[in-house]
Amino acid sequence: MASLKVVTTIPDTFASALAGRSLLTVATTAADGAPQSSPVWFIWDGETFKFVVDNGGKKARDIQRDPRISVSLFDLNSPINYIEVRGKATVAIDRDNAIADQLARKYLSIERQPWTTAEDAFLVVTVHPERTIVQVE
Amino acid sequence: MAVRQSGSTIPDEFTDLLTAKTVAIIATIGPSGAPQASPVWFVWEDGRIRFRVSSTYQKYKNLQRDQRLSVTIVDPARTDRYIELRGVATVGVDHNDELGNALARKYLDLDKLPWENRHEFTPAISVSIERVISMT
Repeated sequence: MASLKVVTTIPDTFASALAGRSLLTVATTAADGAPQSSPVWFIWDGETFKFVVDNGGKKARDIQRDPRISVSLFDLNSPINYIEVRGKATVAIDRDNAIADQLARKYLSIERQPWTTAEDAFLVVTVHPERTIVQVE
Repeated sequence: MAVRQSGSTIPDEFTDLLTAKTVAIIATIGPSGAPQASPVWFVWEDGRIRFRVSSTYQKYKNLQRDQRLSVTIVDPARTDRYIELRGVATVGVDHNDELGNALARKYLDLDKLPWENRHEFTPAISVSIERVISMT
């Protein structure tokens, strides 16, 4: 059976999951302290995970109130392999929709994000890893 | 893409995710109040999500302290289709590997789990669903 390991860097096994069109499941806490989770499209830049949320939306407010966050990624080719990264999130306006454009290129193969004409529709959430837990076959 | 809240009922068009051989991500609250998440194998039975945890894992300790949890199931074939189930866990014991064997049938096409239990007992978690959020 597979076992869990705490690691300092994400193993190469996950390179394709990090670079490919996989989903990151983001867990946060609501105002009443209950856990919530939802999958998002993401960018991994080698050090941090980035994703966008609606400016003024509930997830943005939850993260601004409590920046502690857990993100997990599993390998769709394996029912066992996954990583969980726990850390702190910082939130900023997605200037010029730069990260939304990157997501559009990664997931939709189009140059520009198709969702908004506003400049401040999205916030970028950047997850700074503090603890990485890995399970591999 | 649209997010929909449907009370505690899972919309018909998402019930396939409950029987698909895909993992569910379980989010719980750790001792410091920070969220934690990890994938599990699960079965859908009598309107509840059921899964096992190791008695030595943090997730088990978390659920004994705070029974609130969130279960996310993503369509393995489509990156924009998922359900999130928020609910409350009942923590029990998987007597005679009854749940473990149900998981083996679903995920491994085997009648029984192919490995020995290393621990004295395996906790079984049953999730009563209070809120369903779906996206398609």
